[in-house]
Amino acid sequence: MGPDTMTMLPAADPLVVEAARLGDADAFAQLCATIEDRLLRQANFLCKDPDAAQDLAQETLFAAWKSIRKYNGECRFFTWVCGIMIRQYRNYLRKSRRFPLSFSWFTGEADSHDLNLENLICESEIPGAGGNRDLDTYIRLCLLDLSPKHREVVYLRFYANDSMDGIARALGCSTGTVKSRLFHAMAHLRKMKARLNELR
Amino acid sequence: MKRCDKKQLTLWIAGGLSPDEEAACRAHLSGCARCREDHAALTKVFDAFETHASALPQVDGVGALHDALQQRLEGDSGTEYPSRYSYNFRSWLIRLALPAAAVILLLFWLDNERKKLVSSQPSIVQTQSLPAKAPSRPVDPTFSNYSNASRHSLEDFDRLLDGQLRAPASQTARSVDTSVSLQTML
Repeated sequence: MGPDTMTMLPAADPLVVEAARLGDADAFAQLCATIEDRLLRQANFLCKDPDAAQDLAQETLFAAWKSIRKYNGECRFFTWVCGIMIRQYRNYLRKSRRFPLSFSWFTGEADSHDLNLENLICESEIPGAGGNRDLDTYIRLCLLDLSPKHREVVYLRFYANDSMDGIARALGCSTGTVKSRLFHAMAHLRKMKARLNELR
Repeated sequence: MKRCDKKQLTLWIAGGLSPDEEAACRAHLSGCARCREDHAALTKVFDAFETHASALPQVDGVGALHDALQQRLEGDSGTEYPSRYSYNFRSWLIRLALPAAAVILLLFWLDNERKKLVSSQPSIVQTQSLPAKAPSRPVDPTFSNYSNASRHSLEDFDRLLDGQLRAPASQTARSVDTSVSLQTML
């Protein structure tokens, strides 16, 4: 059930990566062409809105261009870009909040603000929707309910489909830290599943 | 895995264990009902994520995204791109900040220690300002007298020597007599 079982993107050409690092915009565009489709799908899942997804994917790729010098080639390019996207998504959540300041902002639970589970379930569930939609809602709720650091790890593990080492290099932390975060995230998701089952 | 270890169990499902650790987990699982239950529950969560990740629906607009990115890159190239110099300068500033702070703190500490040391030692000014004691009787320039005198200044010692030289011969003779009598007693 490791990352090998799922389709993995081919590794980026080191020469193209080096050219992009040196500031070659065409080389960077060439790098991005291989991952745009997958990135846009994920952005669409996260935002649930095609326009917002376009914006998120575009901002992500542009942020990647801005910090391409920091990419050292130790992890896959797609994993690195996914790491940027999940952080951009956090900014997107902040911006899309109706009330920018709330009590949760002061208590440091900024992302949990959007996360009143009961409300989200009521808003997102359409009567007669298929099982796939249920899974989509469940996964989104799970991701939103996690703390940003745990969300990063879970997202990169499943959606960037990379190994623990690759995730660690993309996030700039140790493999042990990634394993620990994944463990705590999964423990939280188990509880979350139980809570969702109770609410339904 | 001899004891129940949920972390190992999670990492096993996530593919983060070595083959040996996986084998140990599998062996433990065969004899532990509680861990089997945990394993089943975690596998469900993992499966849900993996199924979802592998079946994300196709989206239109990839071409539009590529074009928009190309436009932004063309408009951006050479203007906002951070230069190597500015990046290096900032990173060096950050790297130097901590050692610089440590050096400043060390200097402060050393300065404080020096001040403490100076304040604890009697200064020359203090010794000179001691009330001058007129020797009630002449003192021999022996070692004990020298060591006593060394606690004062060199000038005091000179004064002692001068006093000895000017002392009457009878007194010197008496002191010699005393030492002779002590030798005979011993």
